[in-house]
Amino acid sequence: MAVPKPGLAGKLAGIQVKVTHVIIAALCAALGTVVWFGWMYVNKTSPVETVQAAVAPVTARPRWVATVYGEGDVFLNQPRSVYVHSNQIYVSDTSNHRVVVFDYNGRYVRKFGDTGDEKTRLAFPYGVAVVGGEVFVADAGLMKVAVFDAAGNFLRYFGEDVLKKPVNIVYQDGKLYFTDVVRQQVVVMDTAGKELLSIGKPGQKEPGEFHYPNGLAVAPDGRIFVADTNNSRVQIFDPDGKFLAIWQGDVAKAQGYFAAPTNIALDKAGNVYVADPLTRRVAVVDKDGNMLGAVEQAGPPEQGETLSLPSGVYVDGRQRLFVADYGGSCVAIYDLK
Amino acid sequence: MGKIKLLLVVALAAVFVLALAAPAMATTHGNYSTTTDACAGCHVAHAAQAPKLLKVGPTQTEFCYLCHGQGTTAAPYDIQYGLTSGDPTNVNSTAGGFEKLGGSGGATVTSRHTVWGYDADANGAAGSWSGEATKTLTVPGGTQNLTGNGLVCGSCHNPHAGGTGAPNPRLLRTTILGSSNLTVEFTLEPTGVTDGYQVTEYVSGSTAWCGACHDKFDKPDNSGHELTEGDTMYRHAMDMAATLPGGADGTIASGTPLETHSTDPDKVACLTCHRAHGTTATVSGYALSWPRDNGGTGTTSALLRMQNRGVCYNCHGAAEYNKP
Repeated sequence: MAVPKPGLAGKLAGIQVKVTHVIIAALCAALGTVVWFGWMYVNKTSPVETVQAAVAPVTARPRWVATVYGEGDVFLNQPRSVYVHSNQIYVSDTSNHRVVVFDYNGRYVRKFGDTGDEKTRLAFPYGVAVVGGEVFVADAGLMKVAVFDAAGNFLRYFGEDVLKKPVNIVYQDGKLYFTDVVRQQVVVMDTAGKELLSIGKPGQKEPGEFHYPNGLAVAPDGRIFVADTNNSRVQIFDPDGKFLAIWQGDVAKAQGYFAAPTNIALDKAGNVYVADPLTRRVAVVDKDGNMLGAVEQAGPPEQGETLSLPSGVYVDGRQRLFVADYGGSCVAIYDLK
Repeated sequence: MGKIKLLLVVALAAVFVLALAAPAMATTHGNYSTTTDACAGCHVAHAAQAPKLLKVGPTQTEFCYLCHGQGTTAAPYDIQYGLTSGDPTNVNSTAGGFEKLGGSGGATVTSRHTVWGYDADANGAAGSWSGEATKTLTVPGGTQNLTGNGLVCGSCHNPHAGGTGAPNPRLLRTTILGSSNLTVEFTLEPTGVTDGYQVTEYVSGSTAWCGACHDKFDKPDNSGHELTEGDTMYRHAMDMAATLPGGADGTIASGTPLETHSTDPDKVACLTCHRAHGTTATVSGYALSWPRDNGGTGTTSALLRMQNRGVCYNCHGAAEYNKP
């Protein structure tokens, strides 16, 4: 008669727990804890926030946390865009013709694009994205995408034969998405620089028509949200570029949502944050297109400071909203949890 | 059968004509309706940051730069850095820029029309304006001053005149300081981008238009030789027929372009020698100082199109005044 093999539970039940086992387990736990906290320390991040970001629900009621202006002799001047990668905040410091990088606590780390060979300096940097350790910067002045290494050394230009005046960038699932205000389109490319898809055409009325689209965001399911700036609306497309919806409010009832939306970000609940400098706010719209409210405060409530010309938005994995305020020459940071 | 063909032709012609006659889309600068939202794009009634109820300030210049400043991403015209978006190539602004010409890599201007926010005669970036305290600008060569807001973008351009049938290109005003019915004609060609046009030719009307402010400089033929109209100074004649000598640069990009006119002969206009917004031309030596109409000494490049007094040489130098 065959004896059945014991399962895992049986095996574990058969093990006699010895003191050495307890000590090994404790040492492993301690080592793991040290490694985790060490990683947090190196990246200047909060363990509490990391846990909160994983479990706390997003409220879509942004709470102001901090404002970054710069420090030392590096101060922002009319920043147009903000992006977060590996706990570092990348700001297109547009009127200083450079990108400035801050750590997660807002301390200055480095800057690039404004020094070195004049031919490779930035002119009017806008969208920023990190792709495989390289930093892609869409420059509306150069009308090119400049690529830098992690230290800020210029490497090359990207997609010169495809893009004509790129403004903003999103990188997701191996694809680069650009808004281009000369082509009046969204252009999707692979990292080798090949055009995979173009969305929209110039126009001021019909769905799929763009008039100077400045910004965009890509949802986890691949839907593409486009800030159709001069048409005062947001347009949404499926991953293949098929038109899905227009969000602009009920203009006929004088209940429009946006004036000249310039960029978009999404939180993990699907809420959409739309920077709209002419209304001096970041509009908050739920995943079904209903206006929830707006971010206007730009400092401690008791000071009553408001956003001036918010033109860039980004939501990071910890569900923090970053707003590049062109008029205030700063980046305001909010907690969405 | 013949009637059916005729009807088809008439119907197609009607469709074509109606298509051309279709009203243009409402824009920021015109074609407003009773339910337009365009007003609120620029103005707010009770909480404005700049005069004229502009939403963003503190100067009108900065407001206009929101769309027309360096690296513009909402319009084809970057008037701060003097560049018009084009496809396949961008083109330098024929008026020049207020800080640079030809985009971020272009040369810095040496003189500009000192709109609010820029120092008079300063070469650098925007700063305080010398007339800012009083909001009054003394017009060189003018018998009237600009008061109220001094010189602003809106002194020359009417931001509301962009509707169908706008009488002047570049939204240029038709009434300035009491002069009315000012009509300017330029030849415009598309640059290949949405809403983008470049000026390729000055056709007519620019002298009288500039003369609305600089009226003392708008002088008839022979006024360089005889005092005219009770003037106390001799002044280069304007609006006079002229022909550039062989070899002279008459291009709008780098030379001294004459007004072409459709029926009259070519004429010398203000824009033949001067740029409207700013110039990158430099001056030195004798060209570095010159007596001003209203007293004092000027030391700027005076919005001239060419280095030093190249504008003089370009018309006169290749002819009788350049012989041994």
